[in-house]
Amino acid sequence: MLTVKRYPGATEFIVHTSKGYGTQMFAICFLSFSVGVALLAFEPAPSLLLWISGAIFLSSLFQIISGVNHESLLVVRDLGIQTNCHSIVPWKSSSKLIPLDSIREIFIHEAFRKFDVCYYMGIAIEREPQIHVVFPTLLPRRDVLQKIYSETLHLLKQET
Amino acid sequence: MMSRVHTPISVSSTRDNPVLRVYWPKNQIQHVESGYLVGWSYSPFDLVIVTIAKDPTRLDDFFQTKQSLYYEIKSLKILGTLNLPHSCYEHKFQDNWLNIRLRTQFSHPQIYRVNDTDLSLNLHVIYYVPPQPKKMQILSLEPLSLLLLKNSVFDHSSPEYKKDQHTKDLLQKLDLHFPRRPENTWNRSLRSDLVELLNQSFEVHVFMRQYPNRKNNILIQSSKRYFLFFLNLLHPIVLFFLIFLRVLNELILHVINYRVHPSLPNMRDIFVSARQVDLRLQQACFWPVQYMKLWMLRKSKHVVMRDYKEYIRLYNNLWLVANDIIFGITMCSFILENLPLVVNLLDKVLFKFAIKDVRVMVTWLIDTPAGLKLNNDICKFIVKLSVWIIDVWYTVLLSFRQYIPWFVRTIAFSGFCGASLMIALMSDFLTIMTIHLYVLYLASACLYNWQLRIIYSLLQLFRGKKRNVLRNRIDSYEYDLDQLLLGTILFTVLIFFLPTIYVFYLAFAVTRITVMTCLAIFETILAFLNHFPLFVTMLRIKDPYRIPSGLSLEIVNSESSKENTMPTLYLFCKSKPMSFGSMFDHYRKLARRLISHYLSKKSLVSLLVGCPIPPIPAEQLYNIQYAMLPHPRVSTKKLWNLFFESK
Repeated sequence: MLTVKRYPGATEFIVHTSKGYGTQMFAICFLSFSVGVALLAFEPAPSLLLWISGAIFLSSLFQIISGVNHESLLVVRDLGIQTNCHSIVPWKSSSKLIPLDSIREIFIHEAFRKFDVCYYMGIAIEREPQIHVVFPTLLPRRDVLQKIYSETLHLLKQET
Repeated sequence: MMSRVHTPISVSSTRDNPVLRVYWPKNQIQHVESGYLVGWSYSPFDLVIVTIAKDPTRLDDFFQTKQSLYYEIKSLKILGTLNLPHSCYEHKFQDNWLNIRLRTQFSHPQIYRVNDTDLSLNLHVIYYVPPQPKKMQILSLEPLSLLLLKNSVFDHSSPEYKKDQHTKDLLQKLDLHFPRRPENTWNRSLRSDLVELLNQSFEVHVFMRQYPNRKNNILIQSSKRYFLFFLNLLHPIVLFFLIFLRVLNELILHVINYRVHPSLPNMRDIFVSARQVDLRLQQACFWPVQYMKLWMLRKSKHVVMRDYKEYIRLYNNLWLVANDIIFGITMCSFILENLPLVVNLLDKVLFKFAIKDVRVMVTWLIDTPAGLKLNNDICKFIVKLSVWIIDVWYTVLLSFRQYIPWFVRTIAFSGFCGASLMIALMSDFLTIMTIHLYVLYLASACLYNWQLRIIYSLLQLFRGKKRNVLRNRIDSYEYDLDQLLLGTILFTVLIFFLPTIYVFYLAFAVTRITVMTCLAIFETILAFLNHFPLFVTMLRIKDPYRIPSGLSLEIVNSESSKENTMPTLYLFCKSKPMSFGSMFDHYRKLARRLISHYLSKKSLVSLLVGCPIPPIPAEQLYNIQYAMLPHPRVSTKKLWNLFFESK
C-alpha cells in the first residue's frame, strides 16, 4: 500500500487505494454492457434482464469513476511539502504545495468518525484557518503514518 | 494526543547532504547556444538562471544602465557557462559556479562542478516556464480566488460575518502558540520573493537580447506625437461628459433610495427593477474610478497580483453588462416580431389563469369540495368576499386591457438596457398583476392564524391553565364556572369551524406559492445574469497561466551521481490554474442562502401556522455583487479630483 521513492534531497510517499478491484470492475462493466446490447438483438426484448444488466453496468461505472487512485506526499528538502491526490476523474485530482516557511506544525492526531477511531496526519499552515489533512480519503493506518512522519521530520529539520 | 516516535532510519549518506537548487527556464535557452549563464543568486544555494550572454565583458556596463528601475537588473550575476568547454572568464571561486552541458533539445541539462568538494552536494534542477507579463501571465504562491473575494464587506448581522471574525481571532491566537522555528530561516523554502524573480525572468531575457540594438524609430515617434496632441484636445470634453453622467447617476440613485419615513420601505425594497437599476448605476459610478486605477497601474509597468484582481473585476463587470445588453436586444427583437403571440399569451395568463381559474376554484369550494363537509354559512360568506375582490380586480384590469400591446412594447424596449432590466420589469409586473391573490392570501392567513391562536388559548383554559405573560410560561389558574363554560363552548365551536377556514387558507396559500415560485425563478435568472464569472471562465479556457492559484511540483527525472556530476533530481514547477469550483464558489453560497431561506424550518412552520412567508431580504441576494463595489459611493468631488488633479 505504501510506496516510498527516495530521491537525492527529496522523498515521495505514495499510498495506493486498498480497493483492489480496479480491473475486475472494468471487466464487469464491459461484460454487462455487452450482455445488454446482445439482449437487444432478441425480438421480444426481455426487459427484466435488460434492466438488471443496465443497473450492473451503471453501478460498476460509478464505482470506477468515484474512486481515488492514489495519494502522495512529496517532501523536498528546503523547499516544502506537496500533497497530491490522483484520481481517474479529473475533478477529483488535486494538489497543494506548501512552502516550508508557512508550515507551522506537522502532527499525527486521532479523530472520531462515528464510532470509529482513525489516525490522520495533519499540517497546520500559517494564515489558513483549517488544518490540511494529508491522505484525506485513504487514511492509512497509524504505523504507516508514523513511518512517514519520522522520515519527513528528519528530512525537513536538517540545517543547510 | 501527539505521538512523536523516532524510529531509527538507515538512509544513504547522500540524503543528508545540503541541496543546491538551480531554476532553469524551460524554452528560453536553446541547446545550440553557448555562452555565459546570467541570473540571480537568491541565496548561496538558490540560483535562478535567466538567459545566456556571449560576451562577459560587456555585461558589466549593461548592469549599470539606468533602465534597471523596474527589474532587479542590478543584482544579476554570471552564474556559470553553458556548453563552453573552456572558459576564460575570471570568477570568484567561493561562489557556486556551474558548468552546464545541454546536448539535445530533449535532454536534461547536465551540471558539472569545478571543485572536488562540491560533489557532496545534492542538486535539484527546477524547471519553470517564465510567465510573459505582456500577456499578463504570472506565477503566484497565493491563490487568486482568495484575493478576488477578500474585500467583501459583510453586513454585520449575517452569521457568516460572525464566523469570519471568530476564525480571525483563532488565527491570531495560533500565531502566539507557534513561534518561528529555526527551520523557517530566511534562506530556505519557496518564498514569494523568489517567485517574483521567476516572474521577471522573461522580461529581463528579452531586454538583454535587445540591449545593444535599441534604436528609436523617428517616424513612429512623430506619429505618436500627433496622436497624443489630438487626444489631449478630446480629453477634457470626455471627462466633463463623464462627470455629467455621474451627477445624473447620483440624482437617480437619490430618487430610488428616498425614504418618506425611516420605517417605511423605499422604492428599492419594493420593486425588483428599482434594485436592478440601482445596481447598474452604482457599477457605472465605479467604472471610471477602476479604469483610472488600472491606467495608472499600467503606466508603472510593474504588475503585481493586486492589479490583476482589479483588472479581472473591472472586465468581468464590463463583459457581463455587454452580455446583458446583447441578450436584451435579442429578446426585444424576438418579442417585437411575435407581438400578437405575446399579447395573446399575456391576455390568457392574466384573464384566464389569474382571474377565471381562481374564481372557478373558489366557487368549487362552496359545496362539499373533494367530499369534505364544510360549514355552509362561513363558506358562502368567504366565497362571496373572495369573488367580490376578484371581480373588483377584474374590472380594473379590463380598463387596462387595451394598453397591453403598448405595455409589451415598453418591456421589449427596456431590453436595450439589458435583459436583466427586462426580467426585473416582468417580475414586478407579475407582482402587481397578482395583487388580488396576495390580498386574499393575507386575509385568509390572518383569519387562520387568529383562529389557531384563539384555539390554543382556549385549550389552555380547557386544561385549567393560563398563559402568564409576566413570566412567559403556562401556569395553572382557577377559573370561575361561567368562564369555564363559556370558554368550552367557544372552544368547541371554533374547533368545528377550523376545517372550513383551513381549506380556504390552503387554497389561497397554494396560489401564493405558485406566484412565489415564478418570482424565485426570475430572481435566479437575474442572479445568473448579474453574477456570472464569465471573464474568469473565458480566461481559464483561453490561457490558464493568467489565473494562477498556486504552484505544483512534479518529478521529471532523477539521476544518481556519475563521474563529475552530483546526484540530481529534476522537478517541474507548474502553475496551477484556478479550478472551476472555486470560480463558482460564490454561486454555491448564493444557492445555499436561497435554499436555506425558502426551505428553512421557519418558512415551513409559518406556512403551517398561517404567518405570511417573509420574502428574502434584498441585501442577502445582492451582497456578493455589491461586495465588489466600495461601500460608500465614490463622490462626484473625488471623481473630479481623480480626473483633473492626478494626471
